[in-house]
Amino acid sequence: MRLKAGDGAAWTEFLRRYGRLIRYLGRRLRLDPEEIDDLLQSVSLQVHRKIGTLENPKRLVSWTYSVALNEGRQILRKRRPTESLDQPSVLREVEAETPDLPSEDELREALSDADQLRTALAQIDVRCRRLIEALYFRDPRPAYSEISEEFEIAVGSIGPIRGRCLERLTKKLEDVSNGRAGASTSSDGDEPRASEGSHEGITPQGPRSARSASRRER
Amino acid sequence: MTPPHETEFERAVRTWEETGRLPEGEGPEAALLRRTLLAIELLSASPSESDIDDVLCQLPGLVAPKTTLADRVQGMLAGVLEEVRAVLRTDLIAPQPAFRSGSTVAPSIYETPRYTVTISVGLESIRGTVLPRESDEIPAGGRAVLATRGERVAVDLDAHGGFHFEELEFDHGTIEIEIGGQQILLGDVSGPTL
Repeated sequence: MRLKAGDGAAWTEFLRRYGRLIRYLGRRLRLDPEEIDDLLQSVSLQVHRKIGTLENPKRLVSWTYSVALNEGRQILRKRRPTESLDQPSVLREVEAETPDLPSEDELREALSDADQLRTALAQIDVRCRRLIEALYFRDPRPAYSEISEEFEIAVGSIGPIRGRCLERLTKKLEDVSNGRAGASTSSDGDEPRASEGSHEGITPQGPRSARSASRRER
Repeated sequence: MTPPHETEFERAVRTWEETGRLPEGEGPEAALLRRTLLAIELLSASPSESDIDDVLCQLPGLVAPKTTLADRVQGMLAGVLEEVRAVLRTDLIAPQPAFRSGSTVAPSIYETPRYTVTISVGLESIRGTVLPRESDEIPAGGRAVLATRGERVAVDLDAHGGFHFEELEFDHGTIEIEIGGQQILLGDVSGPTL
């Protein structure tokens, strides 16, 4: 196992993939951004120290999940003395919320879905894609008034349009997961089309030229 | 306040936005929505490259990939190219290094002060383009080098700054682009699947 061997590239990949899971749990535990950074650090250190004891690599997700949950609770316990006494216990809140956390199996599937989601996003119409990116992938999240201005739609229309866009994304994600990606792309939208084509980043910008011949150096 | 004519789907999304509660309704539609929203939450929680670098610095005893070490030695010996590390643009949907999922090819855009590099990573190929940011003229004689699995594959840039690696057995590696006296490094480019 490359992680056990201390392979730097494998650890980079681990952090890219499982860092999502760790930071997601941090958000679900309502940690603040600095605490989420601490969580990523401490969980990674724990995993690094104990990876040698992991006998079944297939348990890496559930193992990381458990470590992250424990570490997240530790962070909350450290925070506890500073909480006002008349506030409900943070830990009690967390314990109450824990049943709402997705199961390990669901999160394992969701990690794959998160990869597939990029593909699905790339295959829905540009306007919807941009709206979903604006709503859920910007930090800080913009106010609806800003979304309204940017997309030139009424604030009251954002909800229904967002709903339709998410319906498309949901269907596309299912297609991508089932290997039906690319069956239909980008043209199923009924949203306003202003600024279509102006989006940078997601829209494929293929090379302008023919391929070059490759050669092996060694 | 519940908006008029709100569908069940819209209500589930609004509840998720307002409370963070994922839909728990019965039926395939609710299950699919829950799955999509959870995927959105996970993808939006992706750590940035600097987050990853910060953590890697804390982990003792990591072994640098052989290709990277070899590349750096070669660069030092060459000593004629200015080494520039390309930065992934942050205005994509998440601070991730590359689009890679399933067999679909999708682009990532890197930038240096002088160049914009676009790469699309597929299952067995990588396509890319290198374009100057402030000029229409592409310096002649450029090339791209993919270092992966202890092997280096080089291709010449064509007249439009394009390059294409094909028939690859590729899971991760680095890409160097030599152009206009610079060596642009794209670190840790990964294949479509882990």
